[in-house]
Parts: sequence; C-alpha cells; structure tokens
Amino acid sequence: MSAAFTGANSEMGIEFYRGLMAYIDHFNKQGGASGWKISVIPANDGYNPLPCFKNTVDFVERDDVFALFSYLGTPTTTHILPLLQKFKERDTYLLFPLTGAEPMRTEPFGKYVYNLRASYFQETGGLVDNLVRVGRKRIAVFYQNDAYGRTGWDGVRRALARNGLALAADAAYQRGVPYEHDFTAEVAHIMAAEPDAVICVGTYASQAAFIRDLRDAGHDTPVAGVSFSDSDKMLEILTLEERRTGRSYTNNLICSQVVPCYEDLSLEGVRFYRELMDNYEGSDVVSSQNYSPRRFSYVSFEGFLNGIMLGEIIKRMADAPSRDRIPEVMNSIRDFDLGIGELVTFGPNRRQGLDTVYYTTVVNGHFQPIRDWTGWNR
Amino acid sequence: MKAPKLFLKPLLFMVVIFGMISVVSSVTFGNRLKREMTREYESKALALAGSMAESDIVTILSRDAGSVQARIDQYKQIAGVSYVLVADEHGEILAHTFVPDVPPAVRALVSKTRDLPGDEYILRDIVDGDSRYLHVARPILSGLAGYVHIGMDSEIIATHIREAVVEQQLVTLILFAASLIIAFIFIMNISKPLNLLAEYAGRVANKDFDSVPEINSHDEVGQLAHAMRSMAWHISELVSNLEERVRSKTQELKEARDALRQKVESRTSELLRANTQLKIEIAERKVIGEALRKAERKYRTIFENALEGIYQTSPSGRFLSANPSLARILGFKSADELMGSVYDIGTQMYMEPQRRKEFLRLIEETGEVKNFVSKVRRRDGRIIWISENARRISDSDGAVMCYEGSVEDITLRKKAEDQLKRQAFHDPLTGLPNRALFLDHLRMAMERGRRRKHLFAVIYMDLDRFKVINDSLGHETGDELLRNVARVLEKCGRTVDTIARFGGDEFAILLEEISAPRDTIAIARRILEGVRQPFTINGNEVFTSASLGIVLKTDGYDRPEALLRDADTAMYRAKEHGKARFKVFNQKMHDQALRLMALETDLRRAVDLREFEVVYQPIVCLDTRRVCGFEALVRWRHPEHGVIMPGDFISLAEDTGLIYSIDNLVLVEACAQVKHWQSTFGARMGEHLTLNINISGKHFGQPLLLSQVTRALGDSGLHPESLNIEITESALMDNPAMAEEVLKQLKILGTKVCIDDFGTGYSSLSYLQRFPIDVVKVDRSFIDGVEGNLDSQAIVRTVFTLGQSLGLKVVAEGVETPDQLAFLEREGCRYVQGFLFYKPLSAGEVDELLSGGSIGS
Repeated sequence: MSAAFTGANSEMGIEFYRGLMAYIDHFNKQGGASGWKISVIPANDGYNPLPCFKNTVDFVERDDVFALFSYLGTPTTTHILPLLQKFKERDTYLLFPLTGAEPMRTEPFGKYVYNLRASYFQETGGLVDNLVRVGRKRIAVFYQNDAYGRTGWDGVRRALARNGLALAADAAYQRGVPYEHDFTAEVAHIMAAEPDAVICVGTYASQAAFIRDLRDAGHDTPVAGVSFSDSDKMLEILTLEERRTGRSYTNNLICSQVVPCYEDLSLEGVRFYRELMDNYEGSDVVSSQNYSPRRFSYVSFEGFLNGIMLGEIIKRMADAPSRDRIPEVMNSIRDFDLGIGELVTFGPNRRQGLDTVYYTTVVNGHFQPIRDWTGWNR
Repeated sequence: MKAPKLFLKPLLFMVVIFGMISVVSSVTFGNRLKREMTREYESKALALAGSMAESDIVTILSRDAGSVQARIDQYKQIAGVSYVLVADEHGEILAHTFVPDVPPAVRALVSKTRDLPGDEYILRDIVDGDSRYLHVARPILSGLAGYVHIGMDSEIIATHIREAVVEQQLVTLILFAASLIIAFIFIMNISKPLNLLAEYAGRVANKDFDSVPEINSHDEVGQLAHAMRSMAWHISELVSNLEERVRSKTQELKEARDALRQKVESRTSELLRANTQLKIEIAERKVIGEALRKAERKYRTIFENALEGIYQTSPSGRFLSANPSLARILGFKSADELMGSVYDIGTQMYMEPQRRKEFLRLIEETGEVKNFVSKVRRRDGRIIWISENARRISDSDGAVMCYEGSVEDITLRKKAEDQLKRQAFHDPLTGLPNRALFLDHLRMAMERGRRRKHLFAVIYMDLDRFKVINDSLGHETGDELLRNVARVLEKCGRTVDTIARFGGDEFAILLEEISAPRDTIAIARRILEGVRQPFTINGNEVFTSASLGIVLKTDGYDRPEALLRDADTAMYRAKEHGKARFKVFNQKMHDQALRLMALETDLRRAVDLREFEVVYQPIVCLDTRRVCGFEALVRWRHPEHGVIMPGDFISLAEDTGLIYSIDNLVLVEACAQVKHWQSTFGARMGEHLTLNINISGKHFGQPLLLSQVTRALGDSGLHPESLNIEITESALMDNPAMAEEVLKQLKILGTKVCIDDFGTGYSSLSYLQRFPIDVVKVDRSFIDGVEGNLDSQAIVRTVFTLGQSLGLKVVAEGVETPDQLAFLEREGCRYVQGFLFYKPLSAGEVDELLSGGSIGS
C-alpha cells in the first residue's frame, strides 16, 4: 500500500489506512482464511508520483508482495501503471486503488487493475447531470493540474457535451498547495464567467481554500466536490474557519461519494464498519504526526470495504493463495454483498465492482444525503 | 615608481582598442550563442513534440485526458520545458500544464494550428507577461489526431548569453591588464636613458663636464649620447680659455679699485659721523612730533565727540570754532555751517539780546561764567534752554583773545523742573494753587501790606454736606463737584486773587488790592450764590452750599498760618450758625479762640496730673426699684475754674487727641471701682452691678481701644459681661464697616454694647440688626418731651416696642419727674436713670448708698 501519510493530503491516507486495517485486524484476529493472514505494508509517497514509483518497485522486487493494494491518488497511481505491465510476468495486480481516474479502468493498463469504487467520470457525470437537471447549466471546473484533476475536468467536459453544453470556465492549481494558499485570483478567473456551479476536482486542502476564498469574495455559488476530496476533513477545516471568522463557508456544498453515508445505520455494512472502527486498536501508521483520528469517515469506510474485498479474495483461494489466481478469483465474484445495499460484481469485462455515486450536502455542520436537488433550482 | 609621461599615449591607445575589441566580441559572441542555443532549443522542442506525438499516440487517440495529463506532466520535468499542451484535431484542448488557465497568446496559437497542413510544424516566440517562450507546435498523425504544443523557456537562453558575455568581457579585461604591464616595462626601458641624458645636459649647463652617463646602446639613443659627449668636450675647452683671460684682467682692475677704495673710506667715515648726528636729531624730532600729534588727536576726538557743545567765540560775537554737538544743539547741519551763519551771537542766538551783554559782563568781571542759563533760538526757530560754562582766554599781555566754553541743552530738564514746580504748588484735582503756594502768596501780600498801604482779605471756605455727597454719590461725583466749585470760585475771584484748594472740600481765597471791606463781602456773597446753584454731574443735579469764614482785618498778623487759623475759626462759626453763610472774624471770636487755647493747655496738664474724677449715675431696675448698675461719668476738677462738665471739654479733648487718655482713665478707674463694689457688697446686691462706660466716637475708631478694654478688665478682674461700652449712633455710622469689626471684637471679649442717645441721629433702624447691640438708651430729649409732646411719646413707645421685639435692653435716661416715670412704666420700661432717682454720685457716696442699703427713691 502506497499512500500519502505526510503532506497536504496526509490525513486522507491515514484515514484510509485506518479503515482498511480495522477490517484486516479483525480478519486476522478471526483466524484469517484457513490460517492465511493478511499483512499490509504501508509506504508513504506524500502524494507524489516518484516516491510512489519507488515504493512500488520495492514492494515487487524487495518484498515480493501478494498484490498492490489500496493505492491512493490519481497522479501517483497513474504513474506506476507501466510497472504493472513490466511486472506482468509476476502477475502483479493493483487492487482497489482510491482513485476514480480512467487509466485505471481503460487500456492499456486497465487489465492489471481491479477497482471497487465508482469512477470520476461517474462522479462528475452524475454531478453535472443533476446540476443541469435543476437548471444550473453554466458549470465551471476548479481542478488539480495533474492526471487526477484532468480526469475530473475531462469527466465534467464530457458530461456537459453529452448535455450539449460546454465548460463555462476552468482554472487549474498546482498539486500540493496547503490550505493557507491564496486562491482569490483563481476565484476571480472562474467567477468572471458567472457560472451557476463550480465543480472542484482537488484535495481537501485546496478545495477548502478555494471555497473559503470564493465565499470571502461574496459568491454563494454551489460548489461540488468529488469523493477524493476527503469531505470529512474538508468540512472540519471549513467549520474551524467558520468558527474563527464568524462567516459561513458550509452552505451550498455538494460532495459526491462512492460509498454510502456512514451514518445510515440501516445498512448492515455500516453497522459492521462502525463496530470494528470503534474497536480498532491498531497503531497509527505515522506515529510522529500530531493527528487525532476521526471516529468515522467516508475515506476510512472506503478503506474498510477494500479490506473486506481483499479478505474475500483470500478466502476464495484459501486452499492455495497465489498471485496468478487473482483474475480467476476476481471473475468469480458475482453479486457479492458488502452490506451497503449494492452488490459487487466483477467479470472479464468488468474491472470495477461498484457503480453507485452518493450525493451529500452539509446540513447543520454534518453531511446528509441529498434526496432532493430542487433546492438548487435555477 | 612614477609612470613616464611617454606611457600616457600608449595607455589611451590601448584603452580604445581593447574597448572596441570587447564590445565587438561580446556582440558577435552573444549573437552566435543566441543563434546556436535557439537552434538547440528549437530542435529539443521539436524532438520532444515529435516524441510525444508518436510515443503517446495511443493515449491521445483514446482521448483519455487523465492519461495524457500524466504523460505531459513527465515532459514538463525536462529542463527548459515550460509548458506542454495537447489539443485534438479540432483544436479542443485535451490537457495542459498551465496554472490556472491557458494564456491567451497560447490559446490563439492553438486555434491557429488547426489549419496547419500536413506534417508542418510551427515555431514561434511567445511573450506572456514577463516571460518569453519558444513555442513549438507539432501535429500528431499529420494533424488527424491533434497537436502537441511545447513551450521552451527563452529566459534560460538569455541567461546563458548573459553569462557567456560576462565571461568574454572578463577575459578581455585580463588581457588588457597584462598588455598594460608589458607596455609599461617597454616604455620604462626607453625613457630611462633619455632621462639620464637630460640630467647630464643640465649638469653641462652648470659647467660640470665630468660624470658622463654610461649609455652603450647602438640605437638612436646611443647616438644621441655620443653626440652630447663630444659637444660637452668642446664647450669645456672654450670655457677654460675664456676663464683664463678674465682672471688676468680682473687682477688689474682689483689693484686700481683698492687704491680708490682707500680714498673713499676716509671720506666715508667723515660723512658717517655727520650722518649719525643728523639721524639722532631726526629721531628726536620724530618722537616729539608723534607725541604732539597723539595729543592733538586725543583732544580733537574729545572735542568732536563730546555731547556738550564746545566753542570758541570772539568778543565781537562770532564763533571761532565749534564742535558738531554745538551745531546739533543749535540745529545746524555741521560746525562749519554754524560758524559761517552766525556773526552776532547776541542777536542771532539769544532770545533776549541782553543775555550776551550779561555774559560779557560776567566774564569780564570774574574771568568765567558758570551755569549761565538762557533761552536760545535754534536754526529751525524752536526755542530751547541752554546752560553755558565759559572762560576768558587772554594772551600774555592780558588782552582778550577769545571766550571758550561749553553748551548743554537743558530744555528737557527745564521742562521737568517746571512740571515739578507746578506739581509742588498746585492741586492736581482742580488745578488750583495748593496750601503751600497760597501761604507763599499770603506771605508776600502780608509783606506788601507792611511796606505800603495794601488792603487784602482772606476767605476760608468749606462745602456743607460734602461728605454726604461723596459717600452717597461716590468719589468721582465728589471730585467733579470739587472741580465745578473751583471753576465757580475762579469766576467769582479776580485775576489778582489767589484761589487755592487746601484738600478735601476746603478752599481759601486771597483777595488782594481791595479798596474797602465791602468788596470782600460782595465777593463772598457771589461765592455763596454761585455755589448754591445746582451742578449737573453725570446727569445728576447736585446741590451744595458753602460756609465761609472771612478775615478782613489782616494787619497785625505775624504769621500767615495764624491768619488762616482765624479765617478757619470764623468759618466754623458760620457752620455753627446754620451753614450756607459767612462770618467775619471779630474780636469776640478772637477771645474765644484764645480761651480755647488756654483750655487746651490746661487740659493737657490735667491729663498729666490726673485732675479727672469719675462719678457714677446709678441705673435703676424698675421691677425691683434697686440699683442695678452705674453709668460712669467724668468730671474735670480744674484748679482755678472748679468742676468742669464733660460737655465743656470733651470736644476739645477729641480735637487734641487727649480723649484717648481720658477715656482710658475713666475705664480703668470705673472698672476697678465696680469690681470692688461687686466683691464688697457681694451676693446681697453687688454682684450683678453693671458698668456703662462712654467711649468717644473718635476713640471708638482706634485699634488701641480693644487692648485698653482688655487690659482694664484683666487688671480689675471685672467680668466682661458686667461692662457696657456706650457709643453714639454717629460713631457707628461714620464708618460702619470698621464699627462692625470693632463691635465683633468687643463681643469676642465678652463685653456688651450700648447705643447712647438712641433716636437722635440716623433714623435708619437697620443697624440695630446689623450690629450686635445689647442695650439701647433712649435719649433724654425724648424723655423730656413725653409730658405733652405726642411725637416724643410715639418715639419712646416705638423704641420700647422695637427693643422688645429685637430682644434689646432699653434704658431711659434723664428721668426727672414722676410723670415721666409713670409714662415709662406704662410703656413697659424696665431700666431708668435720672435725677428722679439719683444724680451722679461720687465713689464714696455710692459706698454709702450700697452699704446703707437705702436704695430706691
């Protein structure tokens, strides 16, 4: 597992790791699968492609891992895709990366990757369709200037084209900027086009900073973000900012998620997740960091589901686990129930287990599913 | 080491040449470098674009913007690459690396590229803000799959060129420095032998033909050295020949000269002696002359700069010399102008021509004049006062040569003196002469009267009620009234008369050269009439009148003061007779005055010898018919005239100030006496005895009083409550503020205050409240009148009512008849004194009275 445990996207990596380890620990405690236990080797890439590349090479050549699992981030993960081809003789597969980018799902490298979550195209497409439906046709994109941001940007563009529309405006930002970064110029650039809504394809820090500067400039335009923006962390930052300045930053926020709301206790998966998270005692992946873990979050929930899937894979080949059996086992997963209301199915032409996108908004400082979009009617 | 001057020109030359080399090489080098690097960058960009267009063709064809972005992110990390952009075949941007957006210049190029035919590529310089880019656009699949745009940073090229040019110029600079050093050494080699030869030529000019410089080079310098050496040898030979000839001729000349010198020396020594003598004489004269000049300068300076005018005049009346100050004093521009203009001092300078004669007389008599004060006319006609000091200058025969003197302008001093004189002899308020001047005039008149028959009279005048006017209308009105009165007097008098103000409202008039006494009376009537007219002052009509005292018989007086005193006496008599009238002093008044003077003398003695005795008039309390106190009264036991009552000497005592002693004497004695009675007759009847002491109004105003009372009480041991200080209404009202203060002090001492003769003076009752009064005495005049006079009855009744309501003790004095007593009792009177009960008793009689217990009527 290579993820950002330090830097501008570090909390996402930490939450992600905690979520999946909550299940993996449980899995191992329960005796594993016929005695096979799962060991996760976490490596920090700081959300940068080159360290991620090096981690991957180490995993394969030094650690001879069973699979690459739960990578985090588009630019990092995209960068290592050619390695999968290079190590294809060793049956190296990438399982369930936390990214909705297309290269993970398309040729030439898509065949070495198994995704669990919905794609960015699905997220952005859903956001655009919903916004267009309520009359918000001028849509602008604020995106990270890398493969992740470009994929989100492309998704919005394609969805708009499908609706016979074009981008109202776009503005890129440099990956890795902290929350303190000043985005007033980008806000001005985007708002010059007078958009009806802005879709952000970024990290929690940049998106929160953009929303802060947008609201400070006096615009209440709806801002929509995708799952990768770690909405829980973003909300925490904006809530702190609200408390500090007395202004309102959490109105008109839309976040698309690829897992259901962790507050929805009607779902068995959610209950299981919450139970294991509350009992999780694993040490933090980065001990030195001054970070108090979140009790629940979308990111850790996604990690948790990844864990279940990995456990399921091992269970299904518990007689003799080997890398070359991964495609066979993956193809055998049909209508697998994670307890989240949607069944997971993989197949030779289906490299992505889930397709549902969930839309949430902030009400009274907490995320709630959006049941009615007409509130944003225009 | 100093650089040879020859070095300057090559230095300049080298600076120019190297400067040109540096500039030209920098330009050419920079240009070449730019060309090369641009070519290199172009090919690099083209190679990158080509590589991208071919190697990522699959990704681009798939339109997977994310993958394309991942690729171009890698390209961007290559050195020199500023941005990468991929567009599809329609010019739609697929991915780019700009933050936040594609600059317009690039966007324009992107859309232009769409029309690019085949496999051509575009190479452009792009300026975006401060940055320059080398932009390469290359089609993918001949433009069917889109285009790759790559921007190389031109700034890097410029930086390289800058560094290269700097390096180039540094090398040029080092070369320049090296060339400079070499050239310097070369030039030094040339200039050194030339310098040596130049020095040698200098020595040859000084006839030093040795120390030939060693120069053995075979170049032009060597030849020059050789030529110089042979030239020097020729010159040296010529010079030695010439010198030999000169030496022999010189010897001959020397011998002839020696002979001559001996002759000259003997003559010279003679001349020297004479010369020395002369020099000494000249030096002496010089010293003397210098001293004379110094002295002359000194005196000239004094003469020129003196503040006083200094002059020499001829006996005929011309100025022989004058200093600038004199010219200034007399109003001339310069001393020369003065001397040129004045030819007769007597008529031209002095206001009175006799002054010059006087001057000449004085100076002939005594040889000098001192403080000779005269009025002179200045050139501009202004009159000034001068004071002269002068002396006569005579020649050895005693004949007058000139007069020499100094002049001082004393106009200011004179004016000040006049002013002072006037102030000293005039009253500033009215401008009339004052007492001093009046007395002076009077003295002169008396003298004239003694010498010849000269009739004169003196009127002394005093305004009636002036004090009331002054107090009620204010001092300014009072002063104005005095001025008006002065004008009236001036109108009534004649020019020969002297009208003077003595101060206050007192005036005196000296009438001179009168023919008969009736003239004086007429004038006096005029004055009375004039003063009686109303004066309008500040819009108020003020009425006044005057009392006049006249002395007609003015002979027989030795001193003017005595005459004035008699006029004063007559004036007082006029006042006594009812004011607004005049009285002529007569023999009777004279006698009375004499008597008064005698009485005064006696009174002084009486105070010294304590010829006074105190009698006590008992005060009776009607409730008990007992004596409850005494009024102490004074009697003068005159050795010749017997007992004199207070009415006959108190006013005289007040005038002479003897009253203080008399009052004090009574106070001390009475206090001791009453204390004695209080303690002797004790509880039975003595201890409540009170004592009333009369204090004169004049005495009341003295700060002395309080200490006297304090001492009397202290010495006698009398309780202050037993002592009533009796004063008159007028004593209070003359100066109410002061009276209030004194009364307050008396109250602090603890004594009581009694108002005597209440009701006679000011009818204002307000003072009863204002002043802390304890006892009121109803005046005997009212008591006298209660039998039959209804007015008196009413007054007495009112006083009792008033006394009751104000809580005052009321005493009726002068009760003589039973009827009076009956009336008083009816009206609630509680305390009386009078002959009906007791006449004033001596201390011994009181002793008897008290011991006998026979009290009551």
